[in-house]
Amino acid sequence: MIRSPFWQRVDKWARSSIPVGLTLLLLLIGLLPWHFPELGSIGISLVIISVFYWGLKKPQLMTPWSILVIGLIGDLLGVTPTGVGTVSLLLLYAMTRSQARALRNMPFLVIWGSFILMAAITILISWLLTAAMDVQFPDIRPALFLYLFDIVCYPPLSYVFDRLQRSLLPEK
Amino acid sequence: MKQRASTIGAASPVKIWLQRFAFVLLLTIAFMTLLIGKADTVAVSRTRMALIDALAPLLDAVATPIQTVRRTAADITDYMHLAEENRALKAQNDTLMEWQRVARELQAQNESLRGLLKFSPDPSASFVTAPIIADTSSGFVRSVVILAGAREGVAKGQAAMTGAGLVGRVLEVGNRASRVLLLTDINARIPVIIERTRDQAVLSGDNSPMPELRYLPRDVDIKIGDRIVTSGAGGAFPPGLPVGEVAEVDGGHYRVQPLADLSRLEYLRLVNYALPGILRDDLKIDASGYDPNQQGILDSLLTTSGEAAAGGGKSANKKKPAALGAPATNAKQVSRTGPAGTE
Repeated sequence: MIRSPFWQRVDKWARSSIPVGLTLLLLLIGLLPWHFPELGSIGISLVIISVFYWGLKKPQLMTPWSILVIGLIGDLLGVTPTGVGTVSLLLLYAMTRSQARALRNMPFLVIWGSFILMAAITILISWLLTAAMDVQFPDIRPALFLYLFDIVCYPPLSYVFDRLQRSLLPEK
Repeated sequence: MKQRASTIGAASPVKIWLQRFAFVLLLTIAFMTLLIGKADTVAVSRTRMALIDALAPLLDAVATPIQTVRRTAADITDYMHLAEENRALKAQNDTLMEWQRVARELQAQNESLRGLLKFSPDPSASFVTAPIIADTSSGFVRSVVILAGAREGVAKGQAAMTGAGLVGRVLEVGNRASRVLLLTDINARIPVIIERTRDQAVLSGDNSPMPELRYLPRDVDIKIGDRIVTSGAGGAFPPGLPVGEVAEVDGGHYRVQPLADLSRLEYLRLVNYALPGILRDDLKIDASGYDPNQQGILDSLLTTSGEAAAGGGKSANKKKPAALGAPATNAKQVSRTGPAGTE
């Protein structure tokens, strides 16, 4: 069946907005009242995975401008203090892009290892910015929980992203 | 076609320049949002609440099944400890019966003394009960979003409570949703008093599950298990609202376990005590971007102030009255009543 140019454009637009749409969806999932006892909610952790993955694999669909918008929405929704999420995600994106060439065609474990390092830096930056804005150090344990949650969730989430990418965003 | 090509050709240098400097530009914008968020919190607050208002129906729809799953998991845990809990409750019941007897005696005595003094009663309180639809209590912020806003009569500064005790205060109000700052948040400051010793202090959050008591007198005698209640300083909350119990004493640092289980919140009661306290909005200062360490203890007290004096009962949808374990409440409105005692 031959589709009209209009529907082809719609289809292309829908496919190309998958990384950003998915990241926004993960942001909303992080907002839901999961609330793990003592440690709080999952907050921005799933967004960190998504920004790293798509920044590495499909940077043309996850641009710095989209990171800015995602960060601002997260900040406005109260996932992070105003500005903290935006700065942290942009720095994560910059780190990811700077290592993209080195990580190309690397085995999964190496990419996971890079993510573990970059997620640590991102969460540490968020924590330090929060401390700077509030002029006192917040409890480190909930931030550590977010970090551990990130490490554990990366393999299954990247597997889902891989499948999505192969089926919906094939290389040209 | 030629015209289009020339347009692209003209745009290309700008595009290349933008790409080259985009990241620096974006990072500058991001840092500016940090400063704007700190300085002009009214504009940020309005934008935030407009966004949360727009997302509130979606969040509510998704949050309901999650709450059900959490409730079921909690029920299973409760069943496992049923016998042990039953024993503890029986023992507690005996103690409470004795307290009830004492309370009745004191109530009768109190009424007769009030009659003698022509005592004017506390301002009556109105409240709204609302479900939690979003939880942003992660490592950086401790707040929740509830499905009740200005149209239900929610106002900034109102006390957020459960049956067990104080949970926090209303920080931002949208049309259909509001954001509640939990007492564990790094920005939360609540003027409290130690019930046994009557020492005043400020309960200060740091994003950990147990906030710390600060600005205590030097020779204070605090023991684990001491009850902490609001002091009424600053006029934000009436005195005597239950807040927590001292759970940790470590070299002059006292940590308080909130009486309300903040990890199992489902519904909150927003109580308006209509108090004429010192309000930050009266001073044309917004409390949400406030830094207590720079302005001392008085401002710490003011941080908790809100628009308590705004008065409840704006909404006409009076449904059913309910009691709250706090002084002199007069239930006027309920936005969406959950199962009794679920909070």
